[in-house]
Amino acid sequence: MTELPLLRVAGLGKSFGRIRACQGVSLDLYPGEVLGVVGESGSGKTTLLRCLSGELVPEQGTVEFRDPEGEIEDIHRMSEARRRFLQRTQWGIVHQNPRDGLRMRVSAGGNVGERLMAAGERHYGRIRAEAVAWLDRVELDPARIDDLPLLFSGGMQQRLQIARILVSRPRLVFLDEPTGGLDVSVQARILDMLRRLARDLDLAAVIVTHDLGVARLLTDRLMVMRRGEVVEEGLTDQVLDDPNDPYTQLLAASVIA
Amino acid sequence: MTAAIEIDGLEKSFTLHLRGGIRLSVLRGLDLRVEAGECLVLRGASGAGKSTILRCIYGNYRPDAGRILVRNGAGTVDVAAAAPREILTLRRMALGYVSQFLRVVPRVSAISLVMEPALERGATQAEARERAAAMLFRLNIPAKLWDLPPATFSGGEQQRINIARGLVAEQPILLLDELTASLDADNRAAVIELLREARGRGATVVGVFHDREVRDAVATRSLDLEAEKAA
Repeated sequence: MTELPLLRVAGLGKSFGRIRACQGVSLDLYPGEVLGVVGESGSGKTTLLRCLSGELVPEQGTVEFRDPEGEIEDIHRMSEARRRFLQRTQWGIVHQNPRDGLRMRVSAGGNVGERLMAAGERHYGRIRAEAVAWLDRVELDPARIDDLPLLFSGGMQQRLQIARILVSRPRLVFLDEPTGGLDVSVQARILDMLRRLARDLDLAAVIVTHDLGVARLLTDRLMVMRRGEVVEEGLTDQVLDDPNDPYTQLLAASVIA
Repeated sequence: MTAAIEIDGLEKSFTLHLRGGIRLSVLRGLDLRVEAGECLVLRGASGAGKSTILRCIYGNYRPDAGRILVRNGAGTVDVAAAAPREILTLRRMALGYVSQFLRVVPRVSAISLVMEPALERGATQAEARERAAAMLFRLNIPAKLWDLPPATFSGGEQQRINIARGLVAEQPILLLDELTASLDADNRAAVIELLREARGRGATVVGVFHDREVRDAVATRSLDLEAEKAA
């Protein structure tokens, strides 16, 4: 396997005052790989995700990203302009609450088109056609392209947020509890969609979740966090079917059905 | 002869931290060589470690010690030491694992579930669909069910969809864990026929079959794990 990792994290640490939110985290993420991060609330998984996506600056360690030209750069040591450019074009963040990721007073089509424009597309007809195609792809009625997301249900907003991120064809996507707070039936639809899109677009992704069912369905590899540290990692089915760490055994034994 | 699977000194135990740290030692220094094209049946009482061996070969259980060399094309991969992505590649290209239980995915139709392994191994949509349909047809799944998600299907139907899913990609090595348990005579016969065809194209099979008819029909060798332990 000569392929190089897309993201390489070494010795990452972040504290909030005296609380060490995460420490000593290292990982390699390869193109097309979906990594799950599980653990209870307060385990440091969201802090880790935010350090990887550039939203938080870690105190220790490095987060190296390989751009399409093969250039490897530490995302926390590059210029603000460069980081923003990569955030717009190379990676995407799907927030748990779609309101954090959408512009609620801009039309659905505008939300999807915005990232295309940010990536340099200027042709209105092409932008609109792409927006229509993506609404359809995430199972939203393209006839609602001019409606505001405010008028959408929670599940629809989440699908719109996913379309908004994926339209610019990022190579790496960060998802924080993408189905948290949604009805089970709505959740199933979004999971199925994400699973299909990840495969069709050959996306690399890091998904934070506390739901082991979501992890089993969507991820190739799993990291289990507790009190800011990684206590166990491996293939998702290994970690869930043959957990070694006491905490992972407790998590795996607590799954309903 | 070339080995499809070569296991040296395989040890596997389970430590149950939620049960006061009880340690169950299941495999203690297992050596096993399976030649390409063989159909080896694992035998032994419940708890002897038959399923554990299959899961270790598949990379689902992580061994405590030992080597598990599995052939993939011209090379071999040591599953006991391989990185997660190497194991995923090995599974996609060379290793099929079929148990009697289907893991249903919400909203995904039966035929899509069966197509998936073929698509992952490089088949086109059309090829995968054709092969999946042929499998479902031979396993007597009524065509009107193909486009429905199997969550509401009967236990036997789900089991047969899982078999179709496990055999559709025609992997060179098949690990089969009790896949015919509780099938009726017609369907058992259909599975026997599919396994004979797999052997006919040179596939290596390691399996657990309680069903004597299936065992007699496909096995070329059997290994008694009780005897292995005593030796």
